Formats: sequence, C-alpha cells, structure tokens
Amino acid sequence: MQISRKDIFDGIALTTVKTDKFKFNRIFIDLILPLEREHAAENALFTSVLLRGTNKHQNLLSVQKELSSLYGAEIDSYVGTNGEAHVITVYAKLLSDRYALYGEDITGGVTSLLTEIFKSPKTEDGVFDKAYVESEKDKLITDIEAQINEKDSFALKRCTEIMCANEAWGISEMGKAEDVEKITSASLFERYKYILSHAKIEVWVIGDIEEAVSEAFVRNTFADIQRGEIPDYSTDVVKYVKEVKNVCEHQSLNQGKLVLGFRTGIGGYEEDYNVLRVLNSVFGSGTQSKLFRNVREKLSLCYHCSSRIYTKGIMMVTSGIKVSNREKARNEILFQLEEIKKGNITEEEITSAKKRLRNAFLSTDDSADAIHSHYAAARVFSSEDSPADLIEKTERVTKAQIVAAAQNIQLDTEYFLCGTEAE
Amino acid sequence: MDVLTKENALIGEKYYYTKHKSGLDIYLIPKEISTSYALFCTRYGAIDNCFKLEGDAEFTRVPDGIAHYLEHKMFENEDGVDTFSRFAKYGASANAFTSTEVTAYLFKCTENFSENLGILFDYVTHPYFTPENVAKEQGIIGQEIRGREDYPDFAVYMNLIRALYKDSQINIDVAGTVESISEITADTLYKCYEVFYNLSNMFLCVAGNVTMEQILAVADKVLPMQEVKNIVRSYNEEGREVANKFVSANFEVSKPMFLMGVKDIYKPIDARDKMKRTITLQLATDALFGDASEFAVDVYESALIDEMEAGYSAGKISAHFIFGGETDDIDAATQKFISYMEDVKKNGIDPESFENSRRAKYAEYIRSFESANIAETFAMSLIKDSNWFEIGDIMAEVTVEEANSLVRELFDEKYYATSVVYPLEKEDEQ
Repeated sequence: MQISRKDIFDGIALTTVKTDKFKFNRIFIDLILPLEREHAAENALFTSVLLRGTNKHQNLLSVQKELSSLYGAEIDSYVGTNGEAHVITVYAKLLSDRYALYGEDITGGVTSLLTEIFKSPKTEDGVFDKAYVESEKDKLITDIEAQINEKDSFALKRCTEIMCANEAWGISEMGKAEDVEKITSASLFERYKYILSHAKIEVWVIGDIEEAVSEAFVRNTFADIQRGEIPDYSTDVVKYVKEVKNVCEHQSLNQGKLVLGFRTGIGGYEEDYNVLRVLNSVFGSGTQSKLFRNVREKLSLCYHCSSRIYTKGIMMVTSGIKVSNREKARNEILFQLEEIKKGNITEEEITSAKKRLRNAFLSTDDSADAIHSHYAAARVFSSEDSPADLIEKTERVTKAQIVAAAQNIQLDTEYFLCGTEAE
Repeated sequence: MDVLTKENALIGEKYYYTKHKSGLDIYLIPKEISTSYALFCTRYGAIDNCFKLEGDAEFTRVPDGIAHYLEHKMFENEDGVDTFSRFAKYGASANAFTSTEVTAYLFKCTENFSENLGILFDYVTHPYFTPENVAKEQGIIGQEIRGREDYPDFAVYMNLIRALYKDSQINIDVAGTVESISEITADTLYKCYEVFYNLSNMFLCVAGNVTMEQILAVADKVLPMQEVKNIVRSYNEEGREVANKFVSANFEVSKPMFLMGVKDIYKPIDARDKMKRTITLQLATDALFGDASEFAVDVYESALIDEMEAGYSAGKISAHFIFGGETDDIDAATQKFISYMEDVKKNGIDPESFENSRRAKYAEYIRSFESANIAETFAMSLIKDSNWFEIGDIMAEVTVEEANSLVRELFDEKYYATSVVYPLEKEDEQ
C-alpha cells in the first residue's frame, strides 16, 4: 500500500492510497469548514442539491440511470463534525475496472459524473434549480425532525446541545430546521461558490486507480476556481467547568437514557490525546473496560454502558437503564472514574486497553473506509500520524499519565431522557 | 482428514472445508489481510423452541428468548475468569449474537490467532450455569429488551412479521420478553445446551491469513470428541393467509412509519432451488425499487415516501417481501405500491433495468469478498443451507422471464399485511 499526498491547487490536496487489496475503489472529497450556526444548514444542504441533477443529466432519474449502468456505482454525501470543523463529504464507491465483464471504463464514467456534479450542477437563471432546492430543504427538515426517532442518539445529541449551548460544538451538523427554511436557491448557490473557493478540500482516492487519472480528475473538477483564504476551523477546548448542569426531559419510553458529559481538556491530536485513548479504553470502551465489567456485569444495571471521547475535548458516557436505577448507575459511573483518578488500575487493565487499541489500528489497512476515516480525521488537525505511529504512541503511555489525565476530567452535564417506569 | 478446496474462478476466491474428527465442520476462506475473523456457530436460534433428540418420545418446549439467554450465559466460566478478559489478553475483540436461526460466537484479531481460537473453542464447549449467574442476567437482558422496545423501527418490523405469520416461530422475538425470560433456569439452559451445542450441529467459519493446519492443531488440542446427535425440530406450518391485514402502534416519532409485506409460501425442491428463487426475487426487487428505478425516483421527488426500503429475504422457516418507509399519507403510499405491483404484473419488468440490477448485484457480490467479514456472510449462508460461493453463478443464469413469473405468483393484494407506527398526537384519530 502506497500513500502519497500532493497539493493540486491552493488549499486543494489529493491523497492517493494505491493498493489492489480492494475490489471496489473509493473516492472521497472532504470539504472542511468551520462549524458555524449561520452556515451549518447551508453546508449540510448544498451537496444534496448538487446530486439532484447536472447540465448533462438534468434530473435524478438520469443521474441514477448513469450510475446504474456503471455496475451500480454509488455517489452520495454525508456531513459530520470533527472538533469544531464541519466536514462535508461527497464520495463514490465503484467496482474496480479489473472486474468489469466487458472491459467497461467504470472509473472514467464515475469520475466524469463526479466532476459534472461539482462543476456543472443544473441551474436556472444562474442559480440552483428552485424546485430541487425546495425539495431538498423539505428532506433535510424531515431528517432533522426524525432525530427524535432514535432514542439513544437523541439523548446524546440533547446532552451535547445543553453542554455546549454557547460553543460551536453544540451546533448540529445538519443545522436547525428554522435556518433551513430561510435558504433560497440564490443564497445556496452563493454558498456553494464560496465553499468551492474557501473550504479546505481534501480528495482521497483509495484503490487501484492510476495516480495520473486521479490527479486529472481533481484538476478537471476544481479548475477555474479562484481560491480565497481558508477560514479558521480550529477547535476551542474548554478546560474548566463552572457549574454542573443537570437536565431531565420526558418522552413516552420504557427505559431511561442516561448521558454524562465530561470535559477532558485534551483536544484532538494533542500528544495527550494518546493518553486519553488508553484512559477511555480502560474506563468505558470495550468489554474489558471498567464500565462494562461493573455497571453491566457486576451490578446488572444495564445492557449497554460505555464512554466515548471526542476531539473537542469531551468524553460522553451513555447508558440505558431502569428509571429507578438512575442514582445507582450514575454513582457507579462516577465511582469508576474516581478509581482511575486514585490510580486504582491494574497492569492487566492497561495492557488489555492498549491491546484493544493496537488491534483496531492494525486492522485499519483492511478497510478502505477505515483508511479514509483514520487519515481524514487526522488531517483536520494537520496530523500525519499513521496507524503504526499511533500504535507506538499508545505503547508509550504510562499509568502515571493516565492518572494525571483523569485528574483533569470534570463532569459538565448530566442528562436524563426519562421514560415511565415499566417494571 | 481430507481437506476439500472449492474455487470460484470468476472472482478468484476459494475456501477450504474439512470435517474434524470431533464432528465439527470447518470452513476457511484464506485472505491476505491483517484481520482474521472466526465464527463458531450452532444451528440454534429463537425459532427452535420445540425439539427432541431422535428416539425421544416427547418434544421439549422452552421459553421464548432462551437461545439468546444461553448465548449471554456462555461467557461465564467455572473459575470465575470472565471470557472477555481472556480474549483481551490476546488483543482480540470478541462478541456473540443470536438471531432467529443461529447463535454465533466470534472474535476478530490481528495477532495471536491460535491462542484466540483456543479460547473460543474452550469457552463455548464448557458451559457453567448456576442459579446465581442465571439470575444476574435478568437485569441485563431485561434492559436490552426494554431498550429495544423504545425503537419504533423495531416495533413496526416485529408487528409486521406477527401480522403476516399466524403462528410460525418466526414471530418469537429473539430476546424474548421480560416475562418469558423470568422462567429460564440453569436446568433449562443445560437441557438446550446438551441438544444444540453438540459439535455435529455446529461449524467454524474463518477468514483471514491463517492455514487449515493451524486451525486443526487448535481443534485437536481443545475440542472434545462427541457422538453425533440427531435433533428433531418441530416448526409450525404456515399458509398464505395473513394473521392481520393491518396493525398499528403509537410512538414519539416525527412522522408515520409503515411496512407492508407478503409471505412467500412454497416448497423448494432442494437448496439450490431455494437459492435461485431468492436471488431471482432479489434481482426483481432491485430492478423495481432500486435507486435507479422510476418508482424510487418518483416517490423521492414527490416526497411521498422518505427512507423507502424494499427487499426480499428467505430464512429457514420464513420467506417474505417487505416494502415501506416514512410518509405523511399512509393511504396514498400503500395504494401507490399496490397499483405499481399490479402494473408490473401486467407489463413485466423492464429488461434493461433487470440487466443493470444484475450487474450491480454482481459488483456487490464481488465486494462481499473484500474483507474478513466474508466469514460472516459465508456462515450465514451455510445456516440457510445455502452457499455464498455458488450465488454468483446462479445470479448469472437467472432470466427476466423467471423473475416475472415469480413476481406474478408472489404479489397478490389478498395476502398483503400492513404495519404502521403513528406519532403519539394522532392517537385519537385512529
């Protein structure tokens, strides 16, 4: 596997990961912007409008027929956050040309369509087709409203919003419905132009596509764009908690969803983030963790109880419990964190935590999606760390470092989505 | 012990098979990747609630959810060391799952494959159930059940299955109910274990950079020799008629969700016949409802149905087609589907769309061999007496005429059932 990165235009880079290990090739185009309330909705919306039609393929049926004829290749987009960066990804997944039954040029077909999608979207009076914009606005609002359907992730999202009410990280990656309403085809077209000229653009091509072909694709797609200054998308890490927030909300549910939001004070890809990874694995990630062994296995309080760390400098603990067990579960979670702060960690716990991380890093190369998420996540923080680098850094983490990092972890928000007692 | 090699030349993939002297079937898909994936499966799932051994006079009936409960309890060991810690020592990530037809114990690792396989074989062949450790699980699985009850998409699906099937065991929720699991004791767990965890009812499936010799060396060391046991399972017969044409529930959701379904009741000639029928109907479904179909584009553009899904699946004792999504207008959405299928039956599937679907399916099939997860895909096909390695060839031979004839046979409005989840505030209107 050969990885090489090259600046193609100002702020537009191409990374190729050359390998014939995979049967599908993947192209990812990451558009990196700051997460901002006033633009989150537009950022989340514009790629779905791009995917509705181009000058050549004027409607969705035509776009989909083209993809279908290319062995069912997939082109789609998603939005996410990494720290306080808003990352919009357009991707293509396509069968490698070496498996084409009649020598078809799948790569050529898919890359031309991708270029068209970025370069010549269907327009009307110089802006996006109005009907497409209105239709995609409705769909985005539907998606925003549908977040209530998934109860665990809804609780996690509510805790985040409450915890970071005055920070960029509290903004949903999909934006707010009321902000989506206000978008017009003219304002969205303007935003699209802005994004192409100001977003940090990272293109990833993973598979057996020739580097020259990838480069020509990036050159074609982003040619003729006047590039401007890239806005600051760095993350503000809050280190101190002034007052612990405690919020309980109600829905008709059979189970209570408990979320505890902590400040770790350690942002993504700071050196100490490696310590935090091990700490998180000892504390609440995986079946060898303290939370799994105690809250679930020892006390039988729940089916799932786990922790997760974020590059924003936050750690979230989530669990689904009987409403009447709220105090018991909360106290046990906090007690297990106290144990780490006091240094009550065995060598075996640390070794197992490190092995778990090592296993995950070693398996990264087996999946094109994992390769992309590893390097793309690091790139937002200008890190070049490979999985092998992170294995080495993980190995070096000591118990004293874990205890020291734990000392700085503070509870910020306790959130409970409360059902009616069912048992 | 003979080791058989089966190769699919078209895609350049192969697997090895052998029967170990203990009675265990072993499958290995060699792959030059870092991750190895091993699944130790028993042909035992939620549907197997009524069974006996050949020669027994009486059938035994057990509480709903017991296969899944047993899976949880397999992680207990007599020496008190928990199974997850044993794997953690060798850096494997271990897990298990139970479905309607199978219980699978698995691990993925990038190092120490033999040690991890030894642990897998060892803990699954050594049950340790006590009244105390069985009681302990009530709280954990109770919360697993309660948590799932809060998911409207799970409710809309389970309600549809129970509307379609009258008293097939497919209606049993894999986890059981809080009430049914309260009846489970250490004795009943041992009883099920003795029957279904016989090595002749199990198999190992591995994908990764390992050899058959490596696997056999571990098997020789760890696996006990066992007598073959012949299990007789009693499944309830099912006809075409549905249990209920329409069922509904209320949840705190943003808009109504619905699923419609139709059962496929037929007697396959053999395993290959069943595979072919499944693939034919899946290709038909892709051509009719895939992203590039006029129907899918129409409901997307008109916003009649969000998150539209359509699919045909066949299990050991069940087979059905399901269609659905989220909509503000349940009547319009269901009518749209009904009249579309009537048109399709009259005019047939567009041959070009069918060919495109075949190519997309072929690409998807090739993709399935890309990672170590092929071990799971292959294992799940074996559970259904199917064989994932043969599917590519069958896919190539299916004709659009065959698809049309199956579609005409399957889609009959008389046998449709519909399940809806309404938002809470609409409760009074229903």
